[in-house]
Amino acid sequence: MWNSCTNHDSLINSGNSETRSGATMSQGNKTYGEEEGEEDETLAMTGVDEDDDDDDDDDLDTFTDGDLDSGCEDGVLGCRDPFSSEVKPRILLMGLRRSGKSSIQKVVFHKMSPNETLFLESTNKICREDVSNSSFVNFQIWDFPGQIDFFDPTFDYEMIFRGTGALIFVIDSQDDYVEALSRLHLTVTRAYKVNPDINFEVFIHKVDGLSDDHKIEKQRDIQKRANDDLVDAALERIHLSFYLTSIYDHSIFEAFSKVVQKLIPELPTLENLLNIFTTNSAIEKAFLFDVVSKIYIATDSSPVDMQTYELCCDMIDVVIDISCIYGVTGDEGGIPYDKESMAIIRLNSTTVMYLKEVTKFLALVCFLREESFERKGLIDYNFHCFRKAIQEVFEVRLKVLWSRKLLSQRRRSRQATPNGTPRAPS
Amino acid sequence: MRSIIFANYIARDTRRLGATIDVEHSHVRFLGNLVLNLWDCGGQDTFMENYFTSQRDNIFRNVEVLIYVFDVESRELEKDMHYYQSCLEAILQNSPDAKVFCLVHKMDLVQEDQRDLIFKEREDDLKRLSRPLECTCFRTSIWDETLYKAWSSIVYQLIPNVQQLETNLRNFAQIIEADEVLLFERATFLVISHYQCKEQRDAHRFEKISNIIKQFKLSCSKLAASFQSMEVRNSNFAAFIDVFTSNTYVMVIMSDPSIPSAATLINIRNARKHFEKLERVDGPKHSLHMRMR
Repeated sequence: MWNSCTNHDSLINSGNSETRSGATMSQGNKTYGEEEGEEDETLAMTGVDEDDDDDDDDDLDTFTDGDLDSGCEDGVLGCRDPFSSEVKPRILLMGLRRSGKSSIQKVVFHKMSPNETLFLESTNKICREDVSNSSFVNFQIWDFPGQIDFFDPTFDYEMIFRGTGALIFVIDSQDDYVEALSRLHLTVTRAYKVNPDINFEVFIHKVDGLSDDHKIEKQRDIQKRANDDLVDAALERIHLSFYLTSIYDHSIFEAFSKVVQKLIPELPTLENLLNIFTTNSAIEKAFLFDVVSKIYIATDSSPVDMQTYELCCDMIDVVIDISCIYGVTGDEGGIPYDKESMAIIRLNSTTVMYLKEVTKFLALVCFLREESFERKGLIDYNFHCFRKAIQEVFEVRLKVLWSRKLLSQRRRSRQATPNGTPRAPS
Repeated sequence: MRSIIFANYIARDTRRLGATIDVEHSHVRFLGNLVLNLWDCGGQDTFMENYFTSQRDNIFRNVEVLIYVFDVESRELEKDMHYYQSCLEAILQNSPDAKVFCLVHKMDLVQEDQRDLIFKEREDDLKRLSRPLECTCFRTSIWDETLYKAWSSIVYQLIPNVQQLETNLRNFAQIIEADEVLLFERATFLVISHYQCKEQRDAHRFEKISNIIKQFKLSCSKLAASFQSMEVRNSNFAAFIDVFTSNTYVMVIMSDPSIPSAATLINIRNARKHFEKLERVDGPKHSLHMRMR
């Protein structure tokens, strides 16, 4: 468990108790101390997994650049982008054909209008797509055309499952879901055997056509059946979360937000930072949004109102759209969302919405009253501190992961010498 | 279409609309003092026959603008064209000075790569059929910004003192050193006038902006709020959207990042009084809107 405090030192010392990006560690003692001995010990357990990740580097793009040795020696981590795909949660999207997986991916991450998804063609072969460079979330869609062949040598399922934080299974609620449920059961049991830490999420999709009562009824039915299947297989330990979603409204974004939040180990720290910021600046509500996908990865402790969330999504849309039209310089390298991005929208109900850039992928969207906004200078200063703190939080994580990688590499090269003498890292 | 432009529907809500029975009259206030009489005529055959016989003089007299909507997916092209021609004849007889606009609608139902081709075909056909009258054709869909482009152009023709507005906007823009200044009508957010001092990359930006802001206004209304003003910045530009006169909104684009927001906002506020005086009334106009099933 993270201590919920923002002290930089204590963040480093309390260690990385929940690992998500790739390594399965035993459920026991996970403290990662600064002493050599402890480090080696913990690394011995993770070494194996790190190797597997390395092998699959080209496919999985777990690290941004292929060259692992550069920068490792001098220990310079500043040159690395602190928001490389190393730090991002990995999510798999699976389900039967025509359940809506590609549409979900397009609507959430590629800003496609839901109506245009009608023209998307069926995915015919095992298809994998990465959305790691433009968004905070490292996301892969796995689309299977027919029966899952778990023995197909082209794709190493075990490797993939081991490196996954969450598995989303999409069920088409408008169709007969008996087959979907059996596939769900098969997938979940398979994945659980490989990596018991995966979060299993079930999206009950295409609910836009159903009435509210109908939705609840369907959810209850699917939930019961899926859990019954698991009990029958003596796997009650597996926990499934269910969400009602549709690409025609904001429910898909809300569901995704919840899925992603479970995968961020720094979440309590981020929430605490947001709380401190909002109380000191007299802000009513604040969200930390991933700009591309409009998923929010953290919010302060006040209750979340769906409509407020939707309004924030719409505000981000407006800001990005206008920036695309006017804010991009002629050359290819222009991006609409950059360091200076900010927006202020005044609503007539004396509420002000304020958006500020936090990192390359993240933005802070807050709601405050007109009177509070008069002290904009103070709010901006607080925001400046907040932004620095957020960047430090992510940098710490990156340093931890990089050190781990470095050490596992050294360990590997040490183990590889034939005559037993330790070899210097190349 | 009428619901979206004039009555603040979002595209999805229009599924609930029923067929228009006979003629639906509405008076729309536009630019405060202008009143548009919108006649939405139902497209079913019986109504169409009716218009050309008994109601002919009533409907086609005193028309400033005829807007004819074609469904791109219609299976009865011959009949559509026949009705269209009857309309044109009636117009020639009763209001020969009317401007004619043809909207090729529901373009979203056509595959993207075929849209240009199909539209070009239709446009050529229609222009040929319309002689001696001139018709302007647009391709539209309620699901994107093409709708706004068509209606902006139509509405632009109806504004009485458009030249004067443009001259004043130009002076304003030059004084405050803006890259571009747009003037929107308040209710519909259609661009009624603009000035740009340098070439902008995106030729369709007006309708896109109309679409963007309109969508946002609608989302705000769900929370029983409405947006009043907006400022968007990044390292390359700053955009300000604010209430201007009682009937218009203004959008100012600045590309000089060293100019503080406060300066631009004060300038906008000072310009308001001047533009208020420019708004004048010329008398109610009468437009005709026909609908094709």
